[in-house]
Amino acid sequence: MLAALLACALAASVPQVEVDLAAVPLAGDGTVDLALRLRIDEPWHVYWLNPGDSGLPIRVTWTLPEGATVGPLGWPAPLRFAAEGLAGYGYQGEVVLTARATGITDPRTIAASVSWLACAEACVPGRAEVTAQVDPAAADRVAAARSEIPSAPTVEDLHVAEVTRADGVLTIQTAGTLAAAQTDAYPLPIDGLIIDHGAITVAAQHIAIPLRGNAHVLPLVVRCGARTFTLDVPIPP
Amino acid sequence: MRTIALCCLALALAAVETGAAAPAFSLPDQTGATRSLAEAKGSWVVLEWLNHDCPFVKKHYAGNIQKLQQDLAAQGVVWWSIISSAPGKQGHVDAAGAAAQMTAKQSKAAAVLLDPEGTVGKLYGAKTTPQCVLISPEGVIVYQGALDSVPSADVADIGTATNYVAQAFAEASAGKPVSVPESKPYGCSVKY
Repeated sequence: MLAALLACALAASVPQVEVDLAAVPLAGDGTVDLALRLRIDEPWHVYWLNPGDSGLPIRVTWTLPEGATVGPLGWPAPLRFAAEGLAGYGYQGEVVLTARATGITDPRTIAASVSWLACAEACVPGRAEVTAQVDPAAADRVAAARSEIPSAPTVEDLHVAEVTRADGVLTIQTAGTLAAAQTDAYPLPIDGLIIDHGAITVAAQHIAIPLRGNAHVLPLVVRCGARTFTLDVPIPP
Repeated sequence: MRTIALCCLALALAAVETGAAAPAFSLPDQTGATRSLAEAKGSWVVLEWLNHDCPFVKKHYAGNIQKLQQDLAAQGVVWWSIISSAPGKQGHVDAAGAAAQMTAKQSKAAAVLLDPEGTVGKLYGAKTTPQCVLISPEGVIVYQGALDSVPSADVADIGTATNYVAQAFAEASAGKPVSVPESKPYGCSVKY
């Protein structure tokens, strides 16, 4: 009994992250959809493309056969993890990153080297090597993950109306039918900008991002409830 | 906001400007003595946010940071590690604990300052461990941000990274412009 309790306690201090890679061959033309799935034990989380104030993004390095190519990873919109004035962006439970490969005759020749940082109170780096398993049923998983990737909104739905910058804060006025329903915003990583993610505020038609440095554009994911969109926000000097 | 953990509105993180005066502070160190930034005026000072349980700190304390601490100390730089972890949170130690860690990790810092209320961490906008600030003898912030240029928890990346603290000190102390005055820090979040 004591050994079991001890094993339980030890297990809780090490995050369990299971990684698998499913390949969905399309139309027999050498194109394959890939679903890289990470399943993470509670209460740990892993990080988005922009981890936020701390953490590290999931990193994927593909191994492909000669002549094959793979497109960029599709990242589902993250959640915000906030504590004591700091914020990170990432995933709990499960996340599926998607990609499309071409020039593939045998999907089992696709492999991925994956690394991540899993955090709860502590942080533990992890890595895994996975090889693709052909799984036509994973088409559903690919479609579901892709539906969670932020998309460009129509102007009618959401657009940037005005941007000002003063006293270290970028203030964005948005407009469109969804602008009153915006609930959160996640900046994409841009060289040259240092953003205070824990101090971002979002209200109807109004987003305030404390930042320093310079860049021409800040790509921003805006969440309106369950839907997420990408906006390119021009930055005044 | 759609958040997982609700954050309590504690003292917000300030932002210190590179090129501006470093905010004054005083904190107890691992011997119980009080250290203040004012006493170090006239020397170069490095502040390094510390949590020995953080894998990013472990990466650099596998020899890299001790060597830098020693090299800079030989040039008169005052290196202070600062622990801003709140009581009960990862990385928090009392004075005796901090002293024991200094010995165990062979730290070459001049002192480890204890900031359990997080006042100085928040004053300097410390987000991660490690995170560094380089202050000139005139009390001006010359560099702030990451220790080096490759955000990872892998010791193997140290060799190919640019050490921003060493670089900023070499440039500024020679009267040259600092090529990277600020960078995005990387690491574990400071456990306020």
